[in-house]
Amino acid sequence: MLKDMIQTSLLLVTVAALSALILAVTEAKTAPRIKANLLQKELELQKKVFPAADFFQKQDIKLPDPAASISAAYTNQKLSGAVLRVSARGYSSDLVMLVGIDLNGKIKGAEIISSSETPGLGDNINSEQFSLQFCELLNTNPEPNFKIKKDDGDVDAVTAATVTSRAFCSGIQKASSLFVIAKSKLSQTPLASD
Amino acid sequence: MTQLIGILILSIFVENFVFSQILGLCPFIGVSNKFDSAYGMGLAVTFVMFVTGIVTWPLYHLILVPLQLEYLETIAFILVIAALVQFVEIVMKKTARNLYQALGVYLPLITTNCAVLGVALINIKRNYSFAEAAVNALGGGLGFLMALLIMAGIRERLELAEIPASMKGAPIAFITGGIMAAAFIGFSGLI
Amino acid sequence: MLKTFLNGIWKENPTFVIALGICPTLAVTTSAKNAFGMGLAATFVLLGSNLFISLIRKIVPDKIHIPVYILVIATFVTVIDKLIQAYSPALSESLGIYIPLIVVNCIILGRAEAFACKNPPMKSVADALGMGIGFTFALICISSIRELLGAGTILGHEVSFIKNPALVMILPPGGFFVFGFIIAAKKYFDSKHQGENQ
Repeated sequence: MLKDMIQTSLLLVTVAALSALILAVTEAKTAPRIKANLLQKELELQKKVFPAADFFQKQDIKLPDPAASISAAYTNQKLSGAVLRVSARGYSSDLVMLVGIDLNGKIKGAEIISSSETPGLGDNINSEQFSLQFCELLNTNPEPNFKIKKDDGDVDAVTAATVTSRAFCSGIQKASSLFVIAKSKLSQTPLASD
Repeated sequence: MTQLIGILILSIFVENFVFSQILGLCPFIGVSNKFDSAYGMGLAVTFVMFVTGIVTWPLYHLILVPLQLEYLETIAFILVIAALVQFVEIVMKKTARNLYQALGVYLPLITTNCAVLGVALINIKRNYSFAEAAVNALGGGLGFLMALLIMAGIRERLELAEIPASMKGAPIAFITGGIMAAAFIGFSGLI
Repeated sequence: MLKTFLNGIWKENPTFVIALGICPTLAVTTSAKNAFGMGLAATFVLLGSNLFISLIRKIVPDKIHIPVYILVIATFVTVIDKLIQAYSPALSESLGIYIPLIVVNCIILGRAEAFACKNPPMKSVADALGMGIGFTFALICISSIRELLGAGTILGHEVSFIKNPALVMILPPGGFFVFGFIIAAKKYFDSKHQGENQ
Protein backbone atom coordinates (compact mmCIF):
# COMPACT_ATOMS: atom_id res chain seq x y z
CA MET A 1 0.00 0.00 0.00
CA LEU A 2 2.64 2.47 1.11
CA LYS A 3 5.01 1.32 -1.60
CA ASP A 4 2.26 1.78 -4.12
CA MET A 5 1.64 5.32 -2.95
CA ILE A 6 5.30 6.25 -3.10
CA GLN A 7 5.59 4.81 -6.56
CA THR A 8 2.55 6.73 -7.77
CA SER A 9 3.72 10.02 -6.31
CA LEU A 10 7.21 9.51 -7.69
CA LEU A 11 5.80 9.00 -11.16
CA LEU A 12 3.64 12.12 -10.91
CA VAL A 13 6.59 14.16 -9.69
CA THR A 14 8.76 12.89 -12.54
CA VAL A 15 6.20 13.76 -15.19
CA ALA A 16 5.63 17.20 -13.65
CA ALA A 17 9.37 17.88 -13.44
CA LEU A 18 9.84 16.78 -17.03
CA SER A 19 7.08 19.05 -18.29
CA ALA A 20 8.40 21.97 -16.23
CA LEU A 21 11.81 21.42 -17.80
CA ILE A 22 10.41 21.35 -21.34
CA LEU A 23 8.40 24.50 -20.68
CA ALA A 24 11.32 26.36 -19.13
CA VAL A 25 13.44 25.58 -22.20
CA THR A 26 10.66 26.66 -24.58
CA GLU A 27 10.13 29.84 -22.61
CA ALA A 28 13.83 30.67 -22.64
CA LYS A 29 14.04 30.07 -26.39
CA THR A 30 10.93 31.99 -27.38
CA ALA A 31 10.71 34.84 -24.86
CA PRO A 32 13.21 37.17 -26.59
CA ARG A 33 11.51 36.64 -29.92
CA ILE A 34 8.06 37.30 -28.50
CA LYS A 35 9.32 40.48 -26.92
CA ALA A 36 10.98 41.59 -30.15
CA ASN A 37 7.74 40.89 -32.03
CA LEU A 38 5.80 43.11 -29.68
CA LEU A 39 8.33 45.93 -29.98
CA GLN A 40 8.40 45.60 -33.75
CA LYS A 41 4.64 45.75 -33.89
CA GLU A 42 4.56 48.77 -31.62
CA LEU A 43 7.03 50.56 -33.89
CA GLU A 44 4.99 49.79 -36.99
CA LEU A 45 1.85 51.10 -35.33
CA GLN A 46 3.61 54.23 -34.13
CA LYS A 47 4.82 54.87 -37.68
CA LYS A 48 1.27 54.41 -38.91
CA VAL A 49 -0.23 57.02 -36.59
CA PHE A 50 2.70 59.42 -37.00
CA PRO A 51 4.19 58.86 -40.47
CA ALA A 52 6.40 61.96 -40.37
CA ALA A 53 8.52 60.77 -37.45
CA ASP A 54 11.41 58.33 -37.74
CA PHE A 55 12.17 57.53 -34.12
CA PHE A 56 10.05 57.00 -31.06
CA GLN A 57 11.07 56.87 -27.44
CA LYS A 58 8.95 56.09 -24.43
CA GLN A 59 8.84 58.98 -21.96
CA ASP A 60 8.82 58.59 -18.24
CA ILE A 61 6.11 61.15 -17.53
CA LYS A 62 3.43 60.69 -14.93
CA LEU A 63 0.03 61.13 -16.55
CA PRO A 64 -3.24 61.64 -14.70
CA ASP A 65 -4.58 58.47 -16.32
CA PRO A 66 -2.55 55.48 -15.06
CA ALA A 67 -3.54 53.36 -18.07
CA ALA A 68 -2.09 55.86 -20.56
CA SER A 69 1.50 56.24 -21.63
CA ILE A 70 3.33 58.60 -23.94
CA SER A 71 6.20 58.24 -26.39
CA ALA A 72 7.98 61.20 -27.92
CA ALA A 73 8.23 61.23 -31.72
CA TYR A 74 11.37 62.57 -33.36
CA THR A 75 12.06 63.66 -36.93
CA ASN A 76 15.78 63.99 -37.69
CA GLN A 77 16.69 63.93 -34.00
CA LYS A 78 14.26 66.75 -33.26
CA LEU A 79 11.08 66.52 -31.24
CA SER A 80 8.14 66.63 -33.63
CA GLY A 81 5.25 65.36 -31.57
CA ALA A 82 4.12 62.40 -29.50
CA VAL A 83 2.31 59.14 -29.72
CA LEU A 84 -0.07 58.44 -26.87
CA ARG A 85 -1.37 55.08 -25.85
CA VAL A 86 -4.78 55.46 -24.25
CA SER A 87 -7.63 53.17 -23.47
CA ALA A 88 -11.25 54.01 -23.96
CA ARG A 89 -14.32 52.16 -22.86
CA GLY A 90 -15.91 50.15 -25.66
CA TYR A 91 -19.04 48.19 -24.98
CA SER A 92 -17.47 44.95 -24.03
CA SER A 93 -14.00 45.87 -22.89
CA ASP A 94 -11.39 48.56 -23.09
CA LEU A 95 -10.17 49.58 -26.51
CA VAL A 96 -6.47 50.26 -26.42
CA MET A 97 -5.44 52.76 -29.07
CA LEU A 98 -2.49 54.78 -30.26
CA VAL A 99 -2.94 58.42 -31.19
CA GLY A 100 -0.26 60.49 -32.96
CA ILE A 101 -0.24 64.21 -32.20
CA ASP A 102 2.14 66.87 -33.52
CA LEU A 103 3.55 69.75 -31.51
CA ASN A 104 0.62 72.02 -32.43
CA GLY A 105 -1.76 69.51 -30.92
CA LYS A 106 -3.00 68.36 -34.31
CA ILE A 107 -4.06 64.71 -34.61
CA LYS A 108 -1.92 62.92 -37.19
CA GLY A 109 -3.51 59.52 -36.97
CA ALA A 110 -5.10 56.99 -34.68
CA GLU A 111 -5.23 53.24 -34.61
CA ILE A 112 -6.84 50.65 -32.38
CA ILE A 113 -4.30 48.11 -31.22
CA SER A 114 -6.31 45.72 -29.18
CA SER A 115 -9.96 45.20 -28.77
CA SER A 116 -12.03 42.26 -27.84
CA GLU A 117 -15.16 43.79 -29.21
CA THR A 118 -17.55 41.37 -30.86
CA PRO A 119 -15.48 39.70 -33.56
CA GLY A 120 -16.65 40.93 -36.92
CA LEU A 121 -18.55 43.92 -35.62
CA GLY A 122 -16.12 46.22 -33.85
CA ASP A 123 -13.47 44.95 -36.24
CA ASN A 124 -14.93 47.19 -38.90
CA ILE A 125 -13.43 50.16 -37.20
CA ASN A 126 -9.98 48.97 -38.16
CA SER A 127 -10.98 48.49 -41.76
CA GLU A 128 -9.48 50.51 -44.57
CA GLN A 129 -12.74 52.35 -45.05
CA PHE A 130 -12.75 53.81 -41.61
CA SER A 131 -9.09 54.81 -41.71
CA LEU A 132 -9.72 56.41 -45.07
CA GLN A 133 -12.69 58.47 -43.94
CA PHE A 134 -10.68 59.39 -40.88
CA CYS A 135 -7.74 60.61 -42.98
CA GLU A 136 -10.03 62.53 -45.31
CA LEU A 137 -11.61 64.22 -42.35
CA LEU A 138 -8.18 65.24 -41.10
CA ASN A 139 -7.27 66.64 -44.52
CA THR A 140 -10.43 68.57 -45.26
CA ASN A 141 -11.19 69.88 -41.81
CA PRO A 142 -8.23 71.28 -39.94
CA GLU A 143 -9.98 71.21 -36.61
CA PRO A 144 -12.61 68.53 -36.70
CA ASN A 145 -14.89 67.89 -33.80
CA PHE A 146 -13.95 64.38 -32.77
CA LYS A 147 -17.38 63.13 -31.95
CA ILE A 148 -19.59 60.93 -34.04
CA LYS A 149 -22.40 62.58 -35.99
CA LYS A 150 -25.04 61.15 -33.67
CA ASP A 151 -23.37 63.18 -30.90
CA ASP A 152 -23.18 66.36 -33.09
CA GLY A 153 -19.61 65.75 -34.19
CA ASP A 154 -17.91 65.32 -37.56
CA VAL A 155 -17.07 61.62 -37.61
CA ASP A 156 -19.21 59.12 -39.50
CA ALA A 157 -19.75 56.18 -37.18
CA VAL A 158 -19.04 52.75 -38.63
CA THR A 159 -22.26 50.96 -39.46
CA ALA A 160 -23.13 48.52 -36.69
CA ALA A 161 -20.31 49.79 -34.51
CA THR A 162 -21.65 53.02 -33.09
CA VAL A 163 -20.45 52.32 -29.59
CA THR A 164 -16.99 51.41 -30.77
CA SER A 165 -16.87 54.52 -32.96
CA ARG A 166 -17.85 56.61 -29.98
CA ALA A 167 -15.15 54.98 -27.87
CA PHE A 168 -12.66 55.69 -30.65
CA CYS A 169 -13.53 59.39 -30.61
CA SER A 170 -13.39 59.61 -26.84
CA GLY A 171 -9.96 57.99 -26.98
CA ILE A 172 -8.74 60.70 -29.33
CA GLN A 173 -10.09 63.42 -27.09
CA LYS A 174 -8.49 61.84 -24.07
CA ALA A 175 -5.18 61.65 -25.92
CA SER A 176 -5.22 65.30 -26.89
CA SER A 177 -6.02 66.46 -23.37
CA LEU A 178 -3.22 64.30 -21.97
CA PHE A 179 -0.86 65.66 -24.62
CA VAL A 180 -1.49 69.23 -23.45
CA ILE A 181 -0.49 68.23 -19.92
CA ALA A 182 2.62 66.31 -20.94
CA LYS A 183 3.84 68.45 -23.83
CA SER A 184 6.29 70.62 -21.88
CA LYS A 185 7.90 67.60 -20.25
CA LEU A 186 8.82 65.81 -23.49
CA SER A 187 12.54 65.47 -24.02
CA GLN A 188 13.64 67.72 -26.92
CA THR A 189 16.16 65.28 -28.36
CA PRO A 190 16.21 61.51 -28.12
CA LEU A 191 18.05 60.21 -25.06
CA ALA A 192 20.90 57.84 -25.68
CA SER A 193 19.48 54.40 -25.18
CA ASP A 194 21.38 51.62 -23.53
CA MET B 1 -19.87 49.22 -7.84
CA THR B 2 -21.44 50.28 -11.16
CA GLN B 3 -18.37 48.81 -12.79
CA LEU B 4 -19.06 45.45 -11.15
CA ILE B 5 -22.74 45.47 -12.08
CA GLY B 6 -21.68 46.34 -15.60
CA ILE B 7 -19.35 43.36 -15.73
CA LEU B 8 -22.09 41.09 -14.37
CA ILE B 9 -24.57 42.13 -17.06
CA LEU B 10 -21.83 41.98 -19.64
CA SER B 11 -20.85 38.44 -18.77
CA ILE B 12 -24.42 37.14 -18.55
CA PHE B 13 -25.94 38.76 -21.63
CA VAL B 14 -23.61 40.72 -23.89
CA GLU B 15 -20.74 38.29 -23.79
CA ASN B 16 -22.67 35.17 -23.03
CA PHE B 17 -20.17 32.32 -22.93
CA VAL B 18 -22.21 30.07 -25.16
CA PHE B 19 -23.66 32.47 -27.68
CA SER B 20 -21.06 35.13 -28.13
CA GLN B 21 -17.79 33.58 -26.98
CA ILE B 22 -18.70 30.10 -28.18
CA LEU B 23 -17.31 28.30 -25.15
CA GLY B 24 -18.71 25.26 -23.38
CA LEU B 25 -20.57 23.88 -26.36
CA CYS B 26 -20.03 20.19 -25.65
CA PRO B 27 -22.26 20.17 -22.55
CA PHE B 28 -24.52 22.76 -24.18
CA ILE B 29 -25.42 20.33 -26.95
CA GLY B 30 -24.83 17.16 -24.91
CA VAL B 31 -27.08 17.66 -21.89
CA SER B 32 -29.64 20.13 -23.16
CA ASN B 33 -32.13 17.51 -24.30
CA LYS B 34 -33.68 17.13 -20.84
CA PHE B 35 -34.68 20.06 -18.69
CA ASP B 36 -33.70 18.44 -15.38
CA SER B 37 -30.24 17.42 -16.45
CA ALA B 38 -29.69 20.83 -18.02
CA TYR B 39 -30.57 22.44 -14.71
CA GLY B 40 -28.19 20.19 -12.78
CA MET B 41 -25.32 20.68 -15.21
CA GLY B 42 -25.88 24.43 -15.35
CA LEU B 43 -25.78 24.76 -11.57
CA ALA B 44 -22.67 22.60 -11.27
CA VAL B 45 -20.85 24.63 -13.94
CA THR B 46 -21.86 27.94 -12.37
CA PHE B 47 -20.53 26.79 -9.04
CA VAL B 48 -17.23 25.48 -10.39
CA MET B 49 -16.71 28.54 -12.60
CA PHE B 50 -17.22 30.88 -9.68
CA VAL B 51 -14.78 28.99 -7.46
CA THR B 52 -12.30 28.77 -10.35
CA GLY B 53 -12.47 32.53 -10.82
CA ILE B 54 -11.76 33.06 -7.13
CA VAL B 55 -8.89 30.58 -6.96
CA THR B 56 -7.05 31.24 -10.23
CA TRP B 57 -6.77 35.01 -9.75
CA PRO B 58 -4.58 34.84 -6.62
CA LEU B 59 -2.73 31.88 -8.12
CA TYR B 60 -1.70 33.99 -11.10
CA HIS B 61 -1.17 37.38 -9.48
CA LEU B 62 0.30 36.27 -6.13
CA ILE B 63 2.29 33.22 -7.14
CA LEU B 64 3.04 32.99 -10.86
CA VAL B 65 3.75 36.67 -11.51
CA PRO B 66 6.17 37.25 -8.58
CA LEU B 67 8.04 34.08 -9.55
CA GLN B 68 8.04 35.08 -13.23
CA LEU B 69 6.40 31.82 -14.15
CA GLU B 70 3.59 33.29 -16.24
CA TYR B 71 4.28 30.74 -18.93
CA LEU B 72 2.96 28.04 -16.61
CA GLU B 73 -0.50 29.61 -16.50
CA THR B 74 -2.27 27.11 -18.77
CA ILE B 75 -0.82 24.11 -16.99
CA ALA B 76 -1.39 25.56 -13.53
CA PHE B 77 -4.97 26.54 -14.26
CA ILE B 78 -6.01 23.22 -15.71
CA LEU B 79 -4.48 21.30 -12.82
CA VAL B 80 -6.19 23.58 -10.33
CA ILE B 81 -9.51 23.12 -12.10
CA ALA B 82 -9.12 19.34 -12.17
CA ALA B 83 -8.20 19.26 -8.48
CA LEU B 84 -10.98 21.68 -7.64
CA VAL B 85 -13.62 19.60 -9.36
CA GLN B 86 -12.43 16.53 -7.49
CA PHE B 87 -12.40 18.45 -4.22
CA VAL B 88 -15.88 19.85 -4.73
CA GLU B 89 -17.09 16.37 -5.49
CA ILE B 90 -15.65 14.93 -2.27
CA VAL B 91 -16.89 17.77 -0.07
CA MET B 92 -20.33 17.66 -1.59
CA LYS B 93 -20.54 13.92 -1.12
CA LYS B 94 -19.77 14.26 2.60
CA THR B 95 -21.76 17.38 3.48
CA ALA B 96 -24.54 17.89 0.98
CA ARG B 97 -25.88 14.53 -0.04
CA ASN B 98 -28.94 15.85 -1.82
CA LEU B 99 -26.99 18.32 -3.87
CA TYR B 100 -24.46 15.64 -4.68
CA GLN B 101 -27.12 13.30 -5.89
CA ALA B 102 -28.47 16.02 -8.14
CA LEU B 103 -25.15 17.27 -9.54
CA GLY B 104 -22.78 14.38 -8.93
CA VAL B 105 -22.85 12.83 -12.36
CA TYR B 106 -22.02 16.12 -14.08
CA LEU B 107 -19.06 17.10 -11.94
CA PRO B 108 -16.36 14.98 -13.64
CA LEU B 109 -17.43 16.34 -17.04
CA ILE B 110 -16.77 19.90 -15.98
CA THR B 111 -12.98 19.59 -16.01
CA THR B 112 -13.03 19.52 -19.79
CA ASN B 113 -15.63 22.26 -20.15
CA CYS B 114 -13.80 25.02 -21.95
CA ALA B 115 -15.96 27.71 -20.38
CA VAL B 116 -14.28 27.04 -17.02
CA LEU B 117 -10.69 27.31 -18.24
CA GLY B 118 -11.88 30.08 -20.55
CA VAL B 119 -13.11 32.28 -17.72
CA ALA B 120 -9.79 31.92 -15.89
CA LEU B 121 -7.83 32.92 -19.00
CA ILE B 122 -10.15 35.81 -19.87
CA ASN B 123 -9.87 37.23 -16.35
CA ILE B 124 -6.10 37.36 -16.74
CA LYS B 125 -6.15 38.65 -20.30
CA ARG B 126 -8.47 41.55 -19.46
CA ASN B 127 -6.42 42.42 -16.41
CA TYR B 128 -9.42 42.30 -14.10
CA SER B 129 -9.06 43.06 -10.40
CA PHE B 130 -9.98 40.34 -7.94
CA ALA B 131 -13.55 41.57 -7.45
CA GLU B 132 -14.06 42.01 -11.18
CA ALA B 133 -12.68 38.54 -11.86
CA ALA B 134 -15.03 36.97 -9.31
CA VAL B 135 -18.05 38.81 -10.73
CA ASN B 136 -17.09 37.89 -14.29
CA ALA B 137 -16.79 34.23 -13.32
CA LEU B 138 -20.15 34.26 -11.55
CA GLY B 139 -21.84 36.04 -14.43
CA GLY B 140 -20.27 33.68 -16.94
CA GLY B 141 -21.67 30.72 -15.03
CA LEU B 142 -25.13 32.24 -14.71
CA GLY B 143 -25.13 33.06 -18.42
CA PHE B 144 -24.20 29.47 -19.17
CA LEU B 145 -27.00 28.21 -16.91
CA MET B 146 -29.47 30.50 -18.64
CA ALA B 147 -28.38 29.42 -22.12
CA LEU B 148 -28.67 25.77 -21.14
CA LEU B 149 -32.15 26.21 -19.64
CA ILE B 150 -33.52 28.12 -22.64
CA MET B 151 -32.08 25.53 -24.97
CA ALA B 152 -33.47 22.62 -22.96
CA GLY B 153 -36.91 24.20 -22.92
CA ILE B 154 -36.86 24.59 -26.69
CA ARG B 155 -35.48 21.13 -27.34
CA GLU B 156 -38.14 19.40 -25.23
CA ARG B 157 -40.71 20.82 -27.61
CA LEU B 158 -38.62 20.22 -30.71
CA GLU B 159 -38.73 16.49 -29.97
CA LEU B 160 -42.41 16.56 -30.92
CA ALA B 161 -41.89 18.53 -34.11
CA GLU B 162 -41.79 16.77 -37.43
CA ILE B 163 -38.48 17.47 -39.11
CA PRO B 164 -36.42 15.58 -41.70
CA ALA B 165 -34.75 12.53 -40.16
CA SER B 166 -31.24 13.74 -40.91
CA MET B 167 -31.91 17.00 -39.06
CA LYS B 168 -32.89 15.26 -35.83
CA GLY B 169 -30.67 15.53 -32.78
CA ALA B 170 -27.49 17.57 -32.98
CA PRO B 171 -28.10 19.35 -36.35
CA ILE B 172 -31.36 20.96 -35.32
CA ALA B 173 -29.86 21.77 -31.91
CA PHE B 174 -27.07 23.71 -33.61
CA ILE B 175 -29.44 25.60 -35.87
CA THR B 176 -31.64 26.48 -32.90
CA GLY B 177 -28.49 27.62 -31.09
CA GLY B 178 -27.64 29.77 -34.11
CA ILE B 179 -30.99 31.54 -34.00
CA MET B 180 -30.52 32.16 -30.29
CA ALA B 181 -27.00 33.45 -30.85
CA ALA B 182 -28.43 35.84 -33.44
CA ALA B 183 -30.94 37.01 -30.85
CA PHE B 184 -28.13 37.57 -28.36
CA ILE B 185 -26.35 39.91 -30.77
CA GLY B 186 -29.18 42.24 -29.87
CA PHE B 187 -27.59 42.69 -26.45
CA SER B 188 -24.38 44.10 -27.89
CA GLY B 189 -24.12 47.79 -27.30
CA LEU B 190 -26.07 47.46 -24.06
CA ILE B 191 -23.09 48.57 -22.01
CA MET C 1 -1.90 1.46 -40.04
CA LEU C 2 -3.24 3.20 -43.13
CA LYS C 3 -6.70 2.19 -42.05
CA THR C 4 -6.17 3.79 -38.65
CA PHE C 5 -5.03 6.93 -40.40
CA LEU C 6 -7.94 7.14 -42.86
CA ASN C 7 -10.44 6.27 -40.16
CA GLY C 8 -9.92 9.65 -38.50
CA ILE C 9 -10.32 11.61 -41.69
CA TRP C 10 -13.71 10.40 -42.80
CA LYS C 11 -15.43 7.53 -41.05
CA GLU C 12 -14.78 8.73 -37.53
CA ASN C 13 -14.02 12.33 -38.30
CA PRO C 14 -13.73 13.77 -34.80
CA THR C 15 -15.70 16.89 -35.58
CA PHE C 16 -18.45 15.80 -37.92
CA VAL C 17 -19.18 12.37 -36.57
CA ILE C 18 -18.37 12.28 -32.89
CA ALA C 19 -19.03 16.05 -32.54
CA LEU C 20 -16.05 16.51 -30.25
CA GLY C 21 -14.16 19.74 -29.77
CA ILE C 22 -16.88 21.93 -31.22
CA CYS C 23 -15.96 25.10 -29.34
CA PRO C 24 -12.83 25.93 -31.34
CA THR C 25 -14.57 24.59 -34.42
CA LEU C 26 -17.15 27.33 -34.27
CA ALA C 27 -15.10 30.05 -32.62
CA VAL C 28 -12.07 30.26 -34.90
CA THR C 29 -13.59 29.35 -38.23
CA THR C 30 -14.20 32.94 -39.26
CA SER C 31 -11.53 32.67 -41.95
CA ALA C 32 -9.78 29.75 -43.61
CA LYS C 33 -6.40 31.05 -42.45
CA ASN C 34 -7.38 30.95 -38.77
CA ALA C 35 -8.90 27.52 -39.23
CA PHE C 36 -5.71 26.18 -40.80
CA GLY C 37 -3.58 27.56 -37.97
CA MET C 38 -5.88 26.12 -35.34
CA GLY C 39 -5.94 22.75 -37.09
CA LEU C 40 -2.15 22.59 -37.27
CA ALA C 41 -1.77 23.56 -33.62
CA ALA C 42 -4.23 20.91 -32.52
CA THR C 43 -2.58 18.29 -34.74
CA PHE C 44 0.80 19.08 -33.20
CA VAL C 45 -0.59 18.66 -29.69
CA LEU C 46 -2.41 15.49 -30.67
CA LEU C 47 0.75 13.98 -32.18
CA GLY C 48 2.88 14.84 -29.17
CA SER C 49 0.42 13.69 -26.56
CA ASN C 50 -0.57 10.50 -28.37
CA LEU C 51 3.05 9.49 -28.88
CA PHE C 52 4.11 10.30 -25.36
CA ILE C 53 1.13 8.71 -23.68
CA SER C 54 1.53 5.60 -25.78
CA LEU C 55 5.18 5.38 -24.70
CA ILE C 56 4.38 5.61 -21.00
CA ARG C 57 1.12 3.64 -21.13
CA LYS C 58 2.59 0.63 -19.32
CA ILE C 59 4.05 2.46 -16.33
CA VAL C 60 1.13 4.77 -15.52
CA PRO C 61 -1.21 3.21 -12.95
CA ASP C 62 -4.90 3.53 -13.61
CA LYS C 63 -5.50 5.70 -10.56
CA ILE C 64 -3.52 8.67 -11.78
CA HIS C 65 -3.86 8.38 -15.53
CA ILE C 66 -6.09 11.45 -15.95
CA PRO C 67 -3.78 13.91 -14.13
CA VAL C 68 -0.78 12.55 -16.03
CA TYR C 69 -2.55 12.91 -19.38
CA ILE C 70 -3.68 16.43 -18.58
CA LEU C 71 -0.14 17.35 -17.57
CA VAL C 72 1.27 15.96 -20.82
CA ILE C 73 -1.35 17.67 -22.97
CA ALA C 74 -1.01 21.02 -21.19
CA THR C 75 2.76 20.91 -21.70
CA PHE C 76 2.44 20.41 -25.45
CA VAL C 77 -0.22 23.10 -25.66
CA THR C 78 1.99 25.64 -23.88
CA VAL C 79 4.89 24.78 -26.18
CA ILE C 80 2.86 25.34 -29.34
CA ASP C 81 1.32 28.48 -27.84
CA LYS C 82 4.76 29.99 -27.23
CA LEU C 83 6.00 28.92 -30.67
CA ILE C 84 3.05 30.57 -32.39
CA GLN C 85 3.53 33.73 -30.34
CA ALA C 86 7.18 33.82 -31.34
CA TYR C 87 6.94 32.91 -35.01
CA SER C 88 3.48 34.00 -36.07
CA PRO C 89 2.29 36.85 -33.86
CA ALA C 90 -0.59 37.70 -36.19
CA LEU C 91 -2.02 34.19 -35.91
CA SER C 92 -1.57 34.22 -32.16
CA GLU C 93 -3.53 37.45 -31.99
CA SER C 94 -6.44 36.19 -34.01
CA LEU C 95 -6.69 32.83 -32.25
CA GLY C 96 -6.30 34.39 -28.80
CA ILE C 97 -7.36 32.24 -25.87
CA TYR C 98 -8.47 29.44 -28.15
CA ILE C 99 -4.88 28.17 -28.33
CA PRO C 100 -4.51 27.54 -24.58
CA LEU C 101 -8.03 26.15 -24.71
CA ILE C 102 -6.77 23.25 -26.84
CA VAL C 103 -6.00 21.71 -23.43
CA VAL C 104 -9.67 21.08 -22.85
CA ASN C 105 -10.43 20.09 -26.42
CA CYS C 106 -12.18 16.78 -25.91
CA ILE C 107 -10.58 15.31 -29.06
CA ILE C 108 -7.15 15.25 -27.48
CA LEU C 109 -8.01 13.76 -24.11
CA GLY C 110 -10.50 11.54 -25.91
CA ARG C 111 -7.86 10.04 -28.21
CA ALA C 112 -5.48 9.57 -25.28
CA GLU C 113 -8.15 7.66 -23.39
CA ALA C 114 -9.61 5.74 -26.26
CA PHE C 115 -6.56 4.94 -28.36
CA ALA C 116 -3.09 5.94 -27.21
CA CYS C 117 -3.26 4.24 -23.83
CA LYS C 118 -4.00 0.89 -25.46
CA ASN C 119 -1.89 0.95 -28.61
CA PRO C 120 1.82 0.96 -29.53
CA PRO C 121 3.52 4.28 -30.42
CA MET C 122 3.55 3.96 -34.21
CA LYS C 123 -0.13 3.13 -34.37
CA SER C 124 -0.93 5.99 -31.98
CA VAL C 125 0.96 8.41 -34.19
CA ALA C 126 -1.03 7.24 -37.21
CA ASP C 127 -4.22 7.74 -35.24
CA ALA C 128 -3.13 11.21 -34.16
CA LEU C 129 -2.28 12.18 -37.73
CA GLY C 130 -5.60 10.91 -39.03
CA MET C 131 -7.60 12.63 -36.34
CA GLY C 132 -5.56 15.82 -36.60
CA ILE C 133 -5.95 16.04 -40.36
CA GLY C 134 -9.62 15.16 -40.05
CA PHE C 135 -10.06 17.98 -37.57
CA THR C 136 -8.16 20.43 -39.76
CA PHE C 137 -10.16 19.35 -42.79
CA ALA C 138 -13.42 19.93 -40.91
CA LEU C 139 -12.27 23.35 -39.75
CA ILE C 140 -11.28 24.36 -43.27
CA CYS C 141 -14.62 23.19 -44.70
CA ILE C 142 -16.61 25.22 -42.20
CA SER C 143 -14.41 28.28 -42.39
CA SER C 144 -14.37 28.39 -46.20
CA ILE C 145 -18.15 28.44 -46.28
CA ARG C 146 -18.35 31.09 -43.57
CA GLU C 147 -15.65 33.23 -45.11
CA LEU C 148 -17.27 33.07 -48.53
CA LEU C 149 -20.75 33.92 -47.29
CA GLY C 150 -19.80 36.30 -44.51
CA ALA C 151 -16.90 38.27 -45.94
CA GLY C 152 -17.17 37.48 -49.66
CA THR C 153 -13.61 36.19 -49.84
CA ILE C 154 -11.83 32.90 -50.49
CA LEU C 155 -8.57 32.63 -48.55
CA GLY C 156 -8.61 36.39 -48.22
CA HIS C 157 -9.08 37.03 -51.96
CA GLU C 158 -12.24 38.82 -52.94
CA VAL C 159 -14.58 37.05 -55.29
CA SER C 160 -16.75 38.88 -57.76
CA PHE C 161 -19.99 36.93 -57.49
CA ILE C 162 -20.79 37.88 -53.93
CA LYS C 163 -21.62 41.54 -53.79
CA ASN C 164 -23.13 41.93 -50.36
CA PRO C 165 -21.70 39.37 -47.94
CA ALA C 166 -23.90 38.58 -44.94
CA LEU C 167 -21.83 39.66 -41.96
CA VAL C 168 -23.84 37.38 -39.71
CA MET C 169 -22.08 34.35 -41.18
CA ILE C 170 -18.76 35.29 -39.59
CA LEU C 171 -20.46 36.19 -36.33
CA PRO C 172 -21.22 33.41 -33.83
CA PRO C 173 -24.70 32.53 -35.25
CA GLY C 174 -23.18 31.79 -38.66
CA GLY C 175 -20.94 29.18 -37.06
CA PHE C 176 -23.90 27.41 -35.52
CA PHE C 177 -25.87 27.45 -38.78
CA VAL C 178 -23.10 26.20 -41.02
CA PHE C 179 -22.09 23.47 -38.60
CA GLY C 180 -25.71 22.36 -38.12
CA PHE C 181 -26.27 22.06 -41.87
CA ILE C 182 -22.98 20.26 -42.47
CA ILE C 183 -23.65 17.53 -39.91
CA ALA C 184 -27.20 17.20 -41.21
CA ALA C 185 -25.85 16.76 -44.74
CA LYS C 186 -23.34 14.16 -43.61
CA LYS C 187 -26.05 12.27 -41.77
CA TYR C 188 -28.24 12.38 -44.86
CA PHE C 189 -25.55 11.03 -47.20
CA ASP C 190 -24.51 8.36 -44.75
CA SER C 191 -28.06 7.10 -44.34
CA LYS C 192 -28.59 7.07 -48.12
CA HIS C 193 -25.34 5.20 -48.60
CA GLN C 194 -26.35 2.62 -46.03
CA GLY C 195 -29.71 2.21 -47.72
CA GLU C 196 -28.00 1.38 -51.02
CA ASN C 197 -25.75 -1.19 -49.41
CA GLN C 198 -28.57 -3.14 -47.87
